[in-house]
Amino acid sequence: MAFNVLIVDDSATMRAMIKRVIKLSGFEAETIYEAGNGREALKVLDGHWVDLVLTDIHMPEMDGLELLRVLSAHPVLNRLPVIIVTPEGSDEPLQEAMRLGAKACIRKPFSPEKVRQVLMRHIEEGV
Amino acid sequence: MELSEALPGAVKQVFGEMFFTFVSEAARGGDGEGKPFAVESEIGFKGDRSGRMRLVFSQRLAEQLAANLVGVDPAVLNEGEIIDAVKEAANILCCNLLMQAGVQTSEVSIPVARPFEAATAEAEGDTFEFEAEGEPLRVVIRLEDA
Repeated sequence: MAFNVLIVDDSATMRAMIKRVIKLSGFEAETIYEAGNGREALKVLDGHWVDLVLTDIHMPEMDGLELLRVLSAHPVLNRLPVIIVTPEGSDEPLQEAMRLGAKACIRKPFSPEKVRQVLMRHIEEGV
Repeated sequence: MELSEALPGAVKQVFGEMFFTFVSEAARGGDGEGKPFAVESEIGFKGDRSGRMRLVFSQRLAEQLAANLVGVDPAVLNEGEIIDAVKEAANILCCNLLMQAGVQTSEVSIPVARPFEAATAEAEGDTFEFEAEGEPLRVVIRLEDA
């Protein structure tokens, strides 16, 4: 079974890197969508079925926390698993993200195996 | 733990896991021998210890790191990808180092990248030399007074 994943990060290079790690991890992704911030992510979600979202926190226009706020208030998308991907060492924004409904956090640096484990755990919960 | 104690482990973990690059400590500065530094990235942090961290790369190393990060041949990289890669290296290394050293941070700035300038690179700070892919990598940490 393959899944659709949405990567939200303002750095195109980081999106490419996360995409690469997902492929290296062996996780079966059918389509990997990309968005440069929360607003773009909502546009993607408006037109495509996505099984899981991986998002950065700090982004221009609409950051990861605001994206979580919008999703948590949405009647359908509030069930969508959202994973935070960040180098953030400070606990405060991560606690806020979890309070807003994020399922987990993948801290950079990460290995493909760690990514695979987190994706599998949370996508299976959502199926 | 002191930042200087945690730095070698953080450098090896960050460059190994994110950039698929083995890094070792170098006994002396590597900016000679035909491998001059070309690009640097810098980031600031505030918390129970505050300061700035600067990473300095040779052009070849910056290109190789960017290529490893996104999984392409260095020949097809564009300048933006190289800049993104060295900024991301500063961002991830700084956060990882502060966490490993047990520093409580309230703010980490947005990293910047720029061409290396020898005059500013020797500003005050503790300098740590590493080697990756046969190329020099320098980390400079400057702590501000509390």
